[in-house]
This record gives sequence, structure tokens and C-alpha cells, in this order.
Amino acid sequence: MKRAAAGSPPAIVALDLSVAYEGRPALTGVTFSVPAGTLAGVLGPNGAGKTTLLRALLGVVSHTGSVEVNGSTSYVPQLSAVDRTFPVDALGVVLMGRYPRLGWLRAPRANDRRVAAELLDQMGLSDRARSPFASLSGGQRQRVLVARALAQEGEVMLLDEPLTGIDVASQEVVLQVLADHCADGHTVCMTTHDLAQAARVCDRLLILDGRLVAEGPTREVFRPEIIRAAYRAELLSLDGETALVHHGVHPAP
Amino acid sequence: MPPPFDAPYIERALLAGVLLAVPFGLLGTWVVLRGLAFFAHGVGVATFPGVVVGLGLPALGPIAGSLAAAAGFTAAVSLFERDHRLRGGAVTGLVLAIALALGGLLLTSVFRVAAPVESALFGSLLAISGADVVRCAAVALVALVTLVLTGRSLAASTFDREWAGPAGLRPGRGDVVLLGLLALAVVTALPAVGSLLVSGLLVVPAATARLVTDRLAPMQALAVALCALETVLGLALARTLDIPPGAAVAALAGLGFGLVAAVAGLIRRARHASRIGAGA
Amino acid sequence: MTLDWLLDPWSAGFMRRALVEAVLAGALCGALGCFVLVRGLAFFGESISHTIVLGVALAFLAGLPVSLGAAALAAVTVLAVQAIGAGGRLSRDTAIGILLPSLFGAGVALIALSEGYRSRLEDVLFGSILGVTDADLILAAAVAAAVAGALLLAGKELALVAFDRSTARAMGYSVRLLDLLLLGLVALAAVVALRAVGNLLLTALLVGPPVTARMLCRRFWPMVALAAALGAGAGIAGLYATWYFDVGAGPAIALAVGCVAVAASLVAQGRRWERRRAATAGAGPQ
Repeated sequence: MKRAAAGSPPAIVALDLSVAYEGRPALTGVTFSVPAGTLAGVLGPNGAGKTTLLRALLGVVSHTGSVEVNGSTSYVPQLSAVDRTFPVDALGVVLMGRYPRLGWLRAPRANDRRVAAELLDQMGLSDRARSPFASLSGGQRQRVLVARALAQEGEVMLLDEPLTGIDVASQEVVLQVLADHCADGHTVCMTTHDLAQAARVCDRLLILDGRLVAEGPTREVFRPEIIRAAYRAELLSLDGETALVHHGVHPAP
Repeated sequence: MPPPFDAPYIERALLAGVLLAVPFGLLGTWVVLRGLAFFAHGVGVATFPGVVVGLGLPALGPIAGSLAAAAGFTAAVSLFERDHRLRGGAVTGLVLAIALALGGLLLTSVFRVAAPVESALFGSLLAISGADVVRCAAVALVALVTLVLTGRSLAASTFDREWAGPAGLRPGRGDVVLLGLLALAVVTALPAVGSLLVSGLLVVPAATARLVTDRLAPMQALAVALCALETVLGLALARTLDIPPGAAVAALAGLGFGLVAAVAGLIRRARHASRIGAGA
Repeated sequence: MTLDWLLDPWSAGFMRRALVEAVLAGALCGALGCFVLVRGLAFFGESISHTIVLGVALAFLAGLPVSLGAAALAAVTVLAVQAIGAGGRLSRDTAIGILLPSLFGAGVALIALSEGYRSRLEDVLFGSILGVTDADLILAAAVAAAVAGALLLAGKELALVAFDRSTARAMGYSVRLLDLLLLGLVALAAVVALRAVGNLLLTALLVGPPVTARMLCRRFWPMVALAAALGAGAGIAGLYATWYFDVGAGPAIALAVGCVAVAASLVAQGRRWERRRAATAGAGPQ
């Protein structure tokens, strides 16, 4: 399938979305839309509400305003959330992505196992299928979790910091797989810390700082004055490498 | 039957023990993997005042009494544990201590139950009736069916709760099923092993199995087998030496864990040494 | 109006000795329990109070002092928890959960094999504070002095480790040594409290007063002082109940602790609901 043509309904629409935890606002009045078939990056400093935005899109936090996700979602939480000592191998984790559709009564079938094995292969991990999850490196674990989300076969994939703290080779594999996934007409929305990488790979950017600072196609949004406003920092560009120089203390979340 | 197993009551005890190995081995796996050992110990201990009240009020009976106590314990801990200032099982510890004190007080002053304290605390071979065996079979069947059906959802939400919720696997429902079955299994095992040492059957065989395998299904099968073996040997030991069965079973289970841990440690060291040798 | 009823119980010598033991054990466990609470070690305290029964049984069989056996088993428990946890497959929670029934079961089995089993078992389980001897009191006083001294010398370091382990390590403290010190102090207190309330109810003294104090105090040291006072107070209240209502002393002391804790938690819960209602009302209708 080709990328969805202009004019088709957007995959994600949020109107005046606000979330508060025990009275403290985490996200206020956010309005944006993400067209189907795009790779959208969510940027912002720590405490800007990036994870909160994903959780609102998943419908697991109560919010005001409206959120609409067209199609089923699949999710990749932060790597630190998983129990690394759980006795399961890499293939078993990917197979978990099929559980929601199986329900309580049906067992995974040959087709489910084939899908899981193919996804591991796509991630370059077919030789580690039977390795305990605990024995994998950080980057390999992240690739397995992305494969689990792909096994869910949702239309919209949400990823929370999928590239943070993993090796460069794994980052490249994940980004390539996500790009292919978008090319198939799926929508991907991921939070990230890495500005330069986001600018390089994302079709669209959403920049948050407790509210929406900017959103739109990457080349319109990724501009020094916008980044500076969100991060309250100086953007430094040297030979294509982009870096942030912070002024004083980090702003309180 | 050979000598330790030659009385009808010991046959009943053995049958009950083998039947209970199914729910205890399966539930024990989740107790170990989810870090619920303190809760498992607490729910057992907390049944003590329920048993005392049940024995004191024949209209209620010890089974209904202990079930009510187990349910009350589960509710109290779930309610107050949300207080982030009281982490690390402080609530569990406090509630179980209050339950024990209440049981002790009721026993010594209000009901003055004829049954000796130690059979309520550590079980008794003579206490197991035919009806108890039927109850054990029913609980074994219910636990087996429920845990096989919910097993995948439990596994996915134990491994990664953040993912399981949005994926639609309802981790909260799994929690309720697990805690409910735990209370049911513990109450059923009370006549045989008593309230204080019931966690020996829940935690120790499953933890022993975890040492041997890195896969879930073999771990569960092994936990059930170990649980059955240790219960049978423990009951025989209790009969031969005339000691409380709960104590015998728990001590044997601990011995089993120690042996397996030692062997596993030796094997790992030998493998490590050979790898270094091959690398050199 | 006379206050005779307040003084009546203490006319008997055994009650006076019980009073000293209860106050010492309560204050000791209350103060140490605060460190147990902030370190999240409640299960560990519960476990030690049971595993030392094996030490008591072994010491009895070998004709050694009971406190020596209990202290030895406390040390074995500490080391075994660390050894099992070091394997990486089993959590600390599970390690404690393995040791508690295994060692306790072995202890009960040993006691059951010896003569005069029933009364001895009940003494170990529920304590025998009314039978406290002068030698017990000397031991309790010595342990109380040792724990007080250790808390005066290393209390703030122990608190620092509880609050921020990595900073404490970076500041050059030996975190492992401080861990062992805390667990050792808990084991000592357990040996004393074993006499007062028995191993079943030791957790009540170790966890109850600190939980209550935590709900009423915002700062750590006032919490320690309040918990020590609550522990001692529960001991006194429990002995009054024993004297006037003829109930077991151990359960009475533990239940006094429990009542205060439940009352404090209800007060705290009520305050929280009040605050939430105020917050919703303050936000106003949207």
C-alpha cells in the first residue's frame, strides 16, 4: 500500500486536550492532527507531557477535550517498565503481541508463531528467538518490544522513547522498520529526546512544553526559534550536528 | 500400603496433599514471579482468627470463618497499600500482626476452643476429613481451569503491565483472579498444613523450579511435581516422627531448595570454568 | 476518687519485671522499626522473627543460652537472603519468602521432637512476659543500651542510606556495613522482644508504632521518638489489659499497637478525603 493520499481522514485528532494528575496540570489545551501514514515525532524537555500525551491517546488517563484515534493502537512503553527477570524467550515476548486477539480460550496457532518469527527476523534477531529475554542486550530487548507491538497489527503505533539508551545499530534497525511500517500505510507516533535524529527521520513534529509549542511538517517546525522557545535553551549547529545549550537551571516541570 | 502410609487418615492426607499440589504449584509460580511472597504468607496467617471464631461458633464453622478472614485481609491490604509512605509491605505486616493478636486473644479469653493451638497454626494429619478431600479436588479443578485460561494474560501483564493495559489484556482482572484463588487455596490447605507455614508450599517449590528453568511452562510443571513430592514426603515424616505436618512439609521444602540451589550453583561454576578453559 | 486502679497491677513483683521488659522491648522495636519501615524491610523483620525459632530450638538442644542461638539464626537469615538474591533469578522478596517457612518449619519440628513440647512452643509463639527473670531484664537493658548507642553514633548515617543509597555510597560510606549494622540491630531487638510478645507478634511491635508515627509526623527523628513512645505505651496498656481482663499479655500488647495504628490511619484517610474535597470545590464548576 502507498502512503495515504491527502484528503483521507487523519489517523489521530486531538482537540483542546488537557490532562491533570491529582489537580496538577500535565498537559493543557493541546490541539493537533496526524495524517495517516506518517511518522510523527513528539519532542519536548523533561516533564513536557510527552508520555502523558501517549497515555491520553491510548485512553488510559482521564482527560478533558477530545481525542480520536482512527483504528486500533499498538504500544511500546519505555524499556525500563518491563520485568527483565521474567522467564520468557524473545519469541515468547513477540507472541504476547498476539494474545489480545486470542482472548482467554484460544491458544496461539501456527500462523501466530509464523508472524512472530518473521517479525523477529525483520528485527535481525532470528538467531536469538530461543534466548531468554534477560540474556539480550538493551538494544536487542527494545527491538523485541517493537516486534511485539508490530505483532498486534494495529493501525496506529505509539512508542515511548524507543531510541533512548540503546546502541546505534539497534536504533537504525528500529528506525528502518518504523519507516517501512509507515510506508505500508500505518501511522507511527514516537516520543524522543534526540532532536537531530527526530529532524532526520520524522515526517512531522509535535513540540510540547506542558502545552503545544508547535506542530506540523518537520521542515516547517524544526527551526531554532521554536526549539529555543520549547527548551528555553540555545540551539547550536555545527556541521550538521545539532546540540542544545541550556541556560541556567532546568525549568521545573 | 507400607508403614508410614497404613492408616485411613493418612491416605486421606496424602490424597489431599497431592490434589493441593496442583493449585499450589501453579499459584506459587505467580507468587514468585510477581513478588507476592509476603502477601501469600500474610493471607495464610490472617486466617488464624477466622479459624478460632469458626471453631468457637459452630454455626459459622472454621471454613467460612477462615474464608472471611482471608477476604478481609486481602481487602484491607489492597485498600491501605496505596499509601506510598508505607512501602515494603508495612501494611501487610501490620494487618497480619493484628490478625494474629486477635486470634491469640480470642483463643485465650473469649472462645477457649478445645482444639489445641498448634493444629490451627501448623496443621494436623488427623484433622483431614473426607469432605476436606472433596474440597481439595474441587479447588484443584477450579484453579487448574482458571489458571490455564488466564495464564497468557497473567504472563503478559507480569512481564510488562504498562503494555498489557492498553493492549486490552485487563491486568486488573487478572489480579483479582489471582488473589481470589490464592485465598481459596490457602483456606483449603489449612487443615493439613495450618496457617503459619502455608507459604512454604506456595513459595518454596516454585522458587526451586525457577532455579532450574528459564521457561514458564516447565517451571509450572516442575513446581506442581515438587509440591506433590514434598507434601507426600513431609506427611510421611510427620507421621513417622509425630511432628506437626506443616512444619515437616516446610522444612523438607526448604531442604529441597537448598539441595537444588547447591547443585545449580556447582553446575554453573563448572560451566563457567570450562568456558574460561576453552577461551584460554 | 482514687487512682488505686492505676497502681494496683504493679504491686506484684512479676508485673513490675514485666513492665520493665515491655517498655524496653516496645521502645527498642518502635525506634528500630522506623528504619525498617523507611528501608521497606517489613517482610524481613517478619521473617527474622520466625527464623530465630530454629536458633532457639537448637540452643535449647545444645544447652546454650537461647539468645545466642536466636542471634546466630538471625545472622544466617541475613546472609542467606543476600546469597539467594545474588543469583539474579529470584527477587529478595522471594528469598525471604523461602527462608521464613523453611527455617521456621525446621524450628517447630525440632521443638516438637523434644519433651514438654506444647508449653515450650506456646512460650516461643506468644511470649511469656509474666515469667520474665532478672537475667532477662539485664539482657534487655544491655541490648537497649547497645541499640541506643548505635543509633546515637550511626543513626544519621542509617537514615541517609535509607533516603539515598547512591549518594551515601558516593560520600564514602560503606553502605553494606551500614546494612549489616541495621539488620544486626533488628536481630538483637528481636531476641529481646521474643521474650515479651513471642515470635508471632514481634512484627506488631516492629511495624505498628512506626506506621502510626509515619502517618502523624513529617520529619524522621520526631517519628523515631514518637514510635519509641508508642511502643512503650502499647506495652503498658497491654499489661493493664492482662491484669484486669485476664487476657494473654503478648496478644494484648500487639492489639494495643494495632488499635492505635488503625485509628491513626483512619484519621489520615479522613484528612486526605477532606483535602480532595476542598481541592475539587476550589477548582470550581467548569
